[in-house]
Amino acid sequence: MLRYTARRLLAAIPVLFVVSLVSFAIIALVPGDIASEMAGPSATAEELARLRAELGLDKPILERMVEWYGALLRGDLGQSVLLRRSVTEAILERLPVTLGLTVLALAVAIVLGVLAGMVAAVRPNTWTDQGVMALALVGLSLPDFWLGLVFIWLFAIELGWLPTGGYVPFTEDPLGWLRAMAMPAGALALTQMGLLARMTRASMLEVLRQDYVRTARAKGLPGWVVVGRHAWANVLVPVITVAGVSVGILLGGAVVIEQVFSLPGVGRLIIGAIQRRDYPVIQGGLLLTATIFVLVNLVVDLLYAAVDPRVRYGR
Amino acid sequence: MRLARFDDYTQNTNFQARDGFGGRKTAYFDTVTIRFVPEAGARTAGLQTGELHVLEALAVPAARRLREDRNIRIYEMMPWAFQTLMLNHAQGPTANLAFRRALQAALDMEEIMAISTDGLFRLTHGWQHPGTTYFAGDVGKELYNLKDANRARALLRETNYRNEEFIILTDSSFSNHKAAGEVAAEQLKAVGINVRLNVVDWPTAFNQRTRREGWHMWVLMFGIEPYEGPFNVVGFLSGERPIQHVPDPVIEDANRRLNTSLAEADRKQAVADFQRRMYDQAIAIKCGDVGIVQATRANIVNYKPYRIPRMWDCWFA
Repeated sequence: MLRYTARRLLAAIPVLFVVSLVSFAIIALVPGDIASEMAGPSATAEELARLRAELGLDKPILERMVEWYGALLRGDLGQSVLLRRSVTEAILERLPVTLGLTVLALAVAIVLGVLAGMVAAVRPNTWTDQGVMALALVGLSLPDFWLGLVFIWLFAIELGWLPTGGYVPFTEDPLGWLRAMAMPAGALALTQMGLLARMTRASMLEVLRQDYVRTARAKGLPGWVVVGRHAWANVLVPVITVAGVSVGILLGGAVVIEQVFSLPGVGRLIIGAIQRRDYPVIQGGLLLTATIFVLVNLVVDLLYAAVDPRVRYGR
Repeated sequence: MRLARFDDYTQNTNFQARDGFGGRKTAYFDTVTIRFVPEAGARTAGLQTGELHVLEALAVPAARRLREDRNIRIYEMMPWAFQTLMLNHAQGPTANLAFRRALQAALDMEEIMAISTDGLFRLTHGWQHPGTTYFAGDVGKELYNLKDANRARALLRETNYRNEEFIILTDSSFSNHKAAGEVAAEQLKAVGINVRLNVVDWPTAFNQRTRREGWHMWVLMFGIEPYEGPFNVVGFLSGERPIQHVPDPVIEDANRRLNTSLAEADRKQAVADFQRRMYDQAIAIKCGDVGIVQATRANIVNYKPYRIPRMWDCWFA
């Protein structure tokens, strides 16, 4: 297992290299730069040229790329032009917000999605099944940013239960953190909840038709033991696969949701950097997102072995 | 971002009250927290629930909806910025004076301003705001907001316009820019101009306009209040690399006189000459003035709207 993990981590290096290379090239080819943004509309061409030189934007793209990779090998993601501070610091400061949001949304999506899928599967073709699946389809079809705005209207303005936005660190006030995160995490989770419910239902129905389940029932085991102990374990593999993909989707969705709920996360940092062409922050943010995605995929693969004894790595 | 009151601050007693960003200022609040809320709907919701006390900008439709809300006070500020259409004189059809005059003749400013500002606008021809020191009166007014399609078509025939592509550069980062570009594009198509609307993001548009090629009209809103007066406007259209890319001798001279004349009357004359030339040569096109809506909770007393909210000399009821 250790050898497999090490091999997968090594294999991630070229993936991350390609991600950084492509993002660097695309960003460098897009017209406009931070000098234009900083100088304002009335700046002369000479003022712009001077500012570009000060910021090192007049250097050839290859030279800038070599400098960036050189610093990266030393663990340095560079300096944000706009924030005037280290990109690593800026990202690490905002990472707990985005990770907290993603993890909470994933937890809600998995718990409620899987539960809904199982309820639908044990009562196939009934009103319960059709009702749950219809709700799952609605959840899948609604855009998260729209849901976010509806949640603000309902839970903040009409009911006054939750704040409209903003962030409270978990370490300062855990309840305040939960109140601040409830709506954004809920809006993010609903789409994935629908996906997980449908996937769980389909997998569970297939498993419930297996011979070993029939045998368990024939032995006289109660229904909840058949489902909860014998069938459930075999449903886990596809659920883990979907949950792994969901992490990537949730991270992407967090970018928009952070804007709607004014959460100071990595997504909002990247959006701001794109709008202002703050290249080091864009590069660092994209590299971080890709790294998280690669690591999550690795964890998913390792979890396969944990839940399914037939899967063994490193042999 | 949280600002705390600086207790050692010494007031400027030469003034009776606040004056612009200066004057006699009294900080009644212990702290002021500035929250960046990018989503307009979330900003409005924050004001409605009382989590936010002051909004720097409230969308015009939301302001209309909240006007009857007794917990909220709405402040309309006019003017906040100019809405303009800058023209590239370096190449393409806009290098031709008659073509630029055709553009000037074709456009219906009321339609452009009403749609791009959700109705919060003022139709004014001046390249300075009415009531300010350098406002040049009616100079050029006869060439503003002509909305005369026949005159535009006649001017196009005069230029031997052969359906060359006319590129309007605008951006989606500012909704006013995009909407003004879209309306202008439709009006110009209606008189027979082959318009291509190029909608990009703000940094891209800003970068593109510094080039001599790739655009003919650039949609730009810019504010000169409360301190820039005519210097920014005239300077923007003069110098070695003016926005229109081809320096105009009369505007160069006006800029020189504006910056070197000791007498205010001479500087005012320079601005009037600049404005006359702007209309006569259709150097760039002024659409109108844009306003902004600011809002507070009703318990904020003595708030006065300003280009950037001032949180001194106001307090909780």
